[in-house]
Amino acid sequence: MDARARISALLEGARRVADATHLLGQRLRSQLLLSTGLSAQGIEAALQRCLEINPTDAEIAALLRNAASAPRAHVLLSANAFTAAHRAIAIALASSAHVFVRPSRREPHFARLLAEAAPNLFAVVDELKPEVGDTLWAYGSDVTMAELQASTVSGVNLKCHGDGFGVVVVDQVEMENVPPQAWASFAHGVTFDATLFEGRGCLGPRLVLVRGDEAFGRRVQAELLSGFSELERQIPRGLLALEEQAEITWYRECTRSVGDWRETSGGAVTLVSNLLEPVPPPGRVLQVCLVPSVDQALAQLQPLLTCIAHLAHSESAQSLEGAALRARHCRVGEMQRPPFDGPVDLRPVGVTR
Amino acid sequence: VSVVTWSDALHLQVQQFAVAAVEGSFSAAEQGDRFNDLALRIAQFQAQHCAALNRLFDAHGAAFDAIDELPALPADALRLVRVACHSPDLDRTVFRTSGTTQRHTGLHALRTLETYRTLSTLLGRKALLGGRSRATVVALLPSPERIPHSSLAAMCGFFMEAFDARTLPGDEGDVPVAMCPSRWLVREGKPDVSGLKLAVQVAHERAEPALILATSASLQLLLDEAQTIPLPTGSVVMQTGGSKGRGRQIDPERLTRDAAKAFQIDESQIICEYGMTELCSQMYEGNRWCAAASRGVYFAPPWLQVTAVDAISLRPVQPGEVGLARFVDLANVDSALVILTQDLIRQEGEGFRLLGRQPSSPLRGCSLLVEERGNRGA
Repeated sequence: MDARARISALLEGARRVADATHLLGQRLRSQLLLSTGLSAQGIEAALQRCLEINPTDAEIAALLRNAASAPRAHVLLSANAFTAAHRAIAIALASSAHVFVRPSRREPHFARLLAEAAPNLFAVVDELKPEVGDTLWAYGSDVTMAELQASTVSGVNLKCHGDGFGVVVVDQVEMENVPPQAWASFAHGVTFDATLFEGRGCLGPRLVLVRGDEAFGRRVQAELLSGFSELERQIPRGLLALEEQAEITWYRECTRSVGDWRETSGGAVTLVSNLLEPVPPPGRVLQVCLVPSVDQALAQLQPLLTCIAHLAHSESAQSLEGAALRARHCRVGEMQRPPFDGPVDLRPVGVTR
Repeated sequence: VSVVTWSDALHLQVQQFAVAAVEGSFSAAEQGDRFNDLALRIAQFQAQHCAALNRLFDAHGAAFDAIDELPALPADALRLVRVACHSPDLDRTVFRTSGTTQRHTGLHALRTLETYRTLSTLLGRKALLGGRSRATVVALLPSPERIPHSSLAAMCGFFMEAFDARTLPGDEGDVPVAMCPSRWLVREGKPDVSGLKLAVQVAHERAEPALILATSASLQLLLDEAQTIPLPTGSVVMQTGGSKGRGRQIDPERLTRDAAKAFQIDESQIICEYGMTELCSQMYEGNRWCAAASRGVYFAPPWLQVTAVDAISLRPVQPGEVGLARFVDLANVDSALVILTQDLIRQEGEGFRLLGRQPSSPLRGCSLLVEERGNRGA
């Protein structure tokens, strides 16, 4: 089976697990309820909007073109965005016929059921044992990546994808010229991106960079709060871990001394007068930052920047293309669904041990 | 009333309260009432004169009628915003928390050092010297010129002036004691073993204890280099700060054991101190002030209240449960009276045990957002 056939077989399997009427799809949904804490609607939204099961031929061609051949490929998965396993495995299959996958201990079900849905395509293992010349694709926190770099045997081609997040850019002048319904569309798109996976993934937005005055920033904050409230009715909040809840409390109290924290049952949005650290934690929390220079802010964030979202066809979008070449650009509402053409994360990843 | 006049009055009241409390002038109930009264007055002062705290108190609708209800400022906030009741031109000193870059450094601006000096020496004399008046004091730290924004170095200097105040061989007579190079025994990152031996010899000749002030890291470096340096009877080693995940990890129990052996003193004479840049008050482990103290349990002085609070609700946890350390520090007159940290503690009797740090999400520990507890810049 060549690489293209392997990708096709994987896509077939992914279609089965995405299908709510298929036995595997039903098993997956019930297991994810326990492992991810997401609401049933949150799981469904992720499966329908983030799991790429119908990529274009051009995307598959790009995926294959970008994959360097390896005798064996290994994949270490993260738990944050369960659908990300699909792309991670596809990238490995594009480079090798011998793929070994170690799922996250917190969320092992998606990869296991995908293996059932696409039998004999890759092996799910408890421990990865890469050898000299193999490629190891690893996804997780920077801390995990650092540990992995220290422990991986010399000669393994290690591809590390660590911490990251997306940002949204919004410009006062442009928003003054859009029709009123565009505000609702903007707010829905941003909050939808922030709601998927409860904001745990590396693509979802944490910051909204505002080019404009304080009154405009307050409008953005209010619209996003409204967006969270609306969305909560469609996609109820999932369960957050105690550590995640504690992070939100800590972040809230930090920002209360420097900005304006507002929350609804659907989420929270804080307004601050500049780029502020720390960035918001997961759990439907956004930070609206009034920045003097969007380009400077993006440059400052670049080490962690995976995705920049903006209004379609906006001038700011075009001017930003050169500002952060190693981040994906998209419209709001599309941040969690980049083209199926390779890793979602365009930042440098290669490390050979 | 001007901010300076109001602040001066509060500083004086805090110092008077601390002296009286150490002298045992209050009944327990009276001490508690006075603490509460003073804390609420400081909180009102801070709400009026510190913009950051004003925002925080407003957000919580603080009523200033109970200290448990006062909102606590997270320690990280000192990295985000100036937290001071006075304008920068009135800064006497600005202490900085550690961080890999200026951008990640937290600032604690003080208009006066007198309350920090008075309270830290009051407690240090009790906890480290057991009430003795004199000791030969040296610090295993770089000189204050090298770390001018370290609150720990400032405190060590206070101890040198208050507990020693004499020259060591080689000191120039017109240089203040706390500025003499003979007192600061880390040079270019290495402990000055011969300087330490000389100071210890002076203590022997004076027939008085030596007080060695050290960080865990500097003490470990000293133990790596030195063999045995017997200290005079009654000497104490004050050890502060962990390795905090940077560089070499240090086992605190082993360090205590090895240090006691190297200095030929009892392990009870190695006394751990717990402090941070964000606070002007300190806590000591197993100190002589509290006879019932056990190893690993820290005690707060009468002017500092420590409470374990739930990391989500920020309400006090049940006795015996683990929570975040919330401090009400009367010595923080001009900054934030109530500080919340991510240090995990459990109340044990009159004291509390330190249990590490609250786990945080990956992004808080990443390179852009370097998150380190203020280790007092040392």
